[in-house]
Formats: sequence, structure tokens, C-alpha cells
Amino acid sequence: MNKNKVYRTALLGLAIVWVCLEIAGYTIVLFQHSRKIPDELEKFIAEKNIRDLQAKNRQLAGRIKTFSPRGTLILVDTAENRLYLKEGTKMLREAVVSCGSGEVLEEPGGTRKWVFDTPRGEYAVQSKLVDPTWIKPDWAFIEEGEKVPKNFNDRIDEDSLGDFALGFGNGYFIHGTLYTRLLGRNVTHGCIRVGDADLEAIFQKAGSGTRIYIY
Amino acid sequence: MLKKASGALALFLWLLSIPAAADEKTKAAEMYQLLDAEAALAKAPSSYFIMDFNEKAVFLKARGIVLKKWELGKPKFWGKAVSIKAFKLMKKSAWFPPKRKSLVPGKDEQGNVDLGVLELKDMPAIYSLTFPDRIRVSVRPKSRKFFLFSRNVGTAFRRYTYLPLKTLWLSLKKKSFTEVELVMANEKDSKALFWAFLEGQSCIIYQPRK
Repeated sequence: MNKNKVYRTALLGLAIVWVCLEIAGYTIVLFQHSRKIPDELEKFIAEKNIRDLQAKNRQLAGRIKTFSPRGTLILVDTAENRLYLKEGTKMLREAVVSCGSGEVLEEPGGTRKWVFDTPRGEYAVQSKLVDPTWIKPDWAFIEEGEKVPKNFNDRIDEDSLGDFALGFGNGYFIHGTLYTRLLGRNVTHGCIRVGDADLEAIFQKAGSGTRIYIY
Repeated sequence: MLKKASGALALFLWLLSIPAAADEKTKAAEMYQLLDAEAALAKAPSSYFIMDFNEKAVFLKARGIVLKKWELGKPKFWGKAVSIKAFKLMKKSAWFPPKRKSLVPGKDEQGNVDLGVLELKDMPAIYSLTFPDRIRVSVRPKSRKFFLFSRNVGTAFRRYTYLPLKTLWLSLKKKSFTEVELVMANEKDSKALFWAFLEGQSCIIYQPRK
């Protein structure tokens, strides 16, 4: 009975301490919320006048626009496996594509390692190829469990890339595919695979230097 | 008499206009800081994020153009107001982070239905983003179903117990922090943001004064 009373008192004491701490925490939060403006902004506001600020804002908004690319654009959403062909802000075509698988390949008994991601960032079309030939890199043989050939001709594959390819650097291409049923999934070694009709439309519209944004 | 009354009215109207003008100035100053920070980022080829709580959206941009936009639910803020400048994402943390799979040489995966690839569905929906200056953004999708009850309990514990105690503890140590709770429209958006946001990428958190 006595023991129960001790427990009850201890529990009550703990609850009171906890409530006090909570109240103290909330009070600090309320105080911080009442000061919504960061100190440096407050100082900045005091130094400037509104007309200057409004003029500078217009200037800055104009400056940002000058950085934006003009003309044809290719946007690639690697999460959704979608490619958007745009002319400025106007959407010309939306294509279901396949992007990098994110898988890792290690050379058995070797030191080399490949990560099959589609690279993200800003790129430009560097080359446009009709009936492209794929020069298979080492990983293509290692992945198949084959020996890396010494003869260059053994690396030539004329079927895998489809009818057209647009190179955007470091051996990455937007190209066709034999595996059309896998469009919409992340299955490639980093290149962007596109269906035949979409690929032709992209190839016709995009010129050398067309900006590509991959995200 | 009429002259006195009109004088008093003019004074009253002038006094009324002071806070409105101050608000306009603050708004213009915030906009200046946002545009200035964005102009610096848009100059470079790297893409960047803007968490715009005025528009209630997260924008992924490059060179000033919007690449992707995610709508947000009502955000929650704790602690110090965030400065309007670019912060680099230091860390993405999740309880179950996605893991890359290794390919087995000689095994043709192209024909397999069950591919070992890393896709959007493999991304976590609940995670946190850590930025410098003790800024932490926790991200979760809007909870709609009953089985998400446990998630709500976790959020409630964090919001009503952990954060007040953390505030108290850090203020005793004379340190401040900022905690932002982002509620994405759905699980897919939450996963897509995790996918798109890379460590080291820049982000502007724009939390306008109310």
C-alpha cells in the first residue's frame, strides 16, 4: 500500500516535470515564431528603400530569364521514365522511355566497377547518328559473362541502338531499343531508350546543341 | 471645425498606411533575396530546388526553368526563421534507404520479369533532409488510410513531445534550429522528391513572413 503511494508520487512528479518542460519548450517556440524575420533580413530592410527594391527585383527576374535556354529542349525524368520534347514552354511530345537501372557491376577478379545510372544534369546534343552502330564497351561482355575481345570488330553491334541515336557525351545516347516492352522501366546501362516513333520525332526536331536536362 | 476634422482624418489614414507600407517593403526585400539567390544558382548548369511556401510547392529548376513541380500540403515550422539563401543538401536520411543491387555476370536480366533494378517504387516515402545551419526538413505523404495511424502517432510524438524538448535543450545551450515538416500530396510525390533530390544539390527555402 505504502509502496503504491511512493510509485504514484514518483509518477506524478515525473508528469509534472514533463509538463513543465513541454510548457517551457512551447514558450520558446512561440517567442521564436513571433520573430518571423531573420536578423539579416531585418537589417537589409532597414538599409533599402522600397522603390529600389522593386526596381532591382524586376532587374533580377529579367536576368534569370536570360539564363534560360531558348528553342527546342529535351527534358528527361528518370524517376517516371518520361522524355518531354519542348519548344520553349510549349510541349511538343511526351515519350515513355527507359533510363538507367541503378545496378552495380563488378569485374570478377578485377578492380573495375560500373554503376548503371543515367547521368543527371545539363547536357547538349553532341552527335546525331542514323543507323547507329554500338561499339560494345568492356562491361557489356563482363555482364554477359564473356571474355573481353581483343579484336575491335568483335565489339561491333549493328542492331541494338535502333534507327537513330543522339549522343550527349561520355558514351551516353538517346537511342532506339529492341526491348520495347520494357519502356517505362529503369532497365538501361545509363543510356535513354526510346520507342521508334518517338525517337524519329525527337531526332527530326533536335539539332546539334539542343539542350538536354536530365533529372 | 471641418478643417480640424479633415486634418485628423488625414493623420489617421497616414497612420494606417505605415504598417501596410512596411509589409510591402518586407515583401519586396524577401523577393529580392529570393531572386538574388536564384540568379546565382541559375547562372550555373546544375539544377536546384526551391521550397516555396508562398506557392505551397517544391520546384526543381535549372537555368530558371521549371523541370518539375510538387504540390505541398500545409507545412509546419519549428524554431528559427530560415534565411533566404541557397543551402546545399548535406544528407538524406530514411529508416529504410534504397539499396543498389549487384549484377551477376552471365545472368541475362533483360528477359526476367522480376528485375533487380532501382525504381521509383523502391524509394522511401518518409525521410528527412539535412541542411547546414541546423535546418532539417522532414518529408512525408499525406496520410489517408487507417493503417497509416502508426505514422500519425509517430508524427504527433515528434511534434508535441520531441520538438518542444529539443527546443528547450538547444536554447539552454544557446543554439537555434529550424525544423520544417513537408507534407506531400501523395506517396508517389514523396518518393519522387527523394529520387530527384541529390546530396550536394542546392535548395532555397522560401518561407515568407505572414
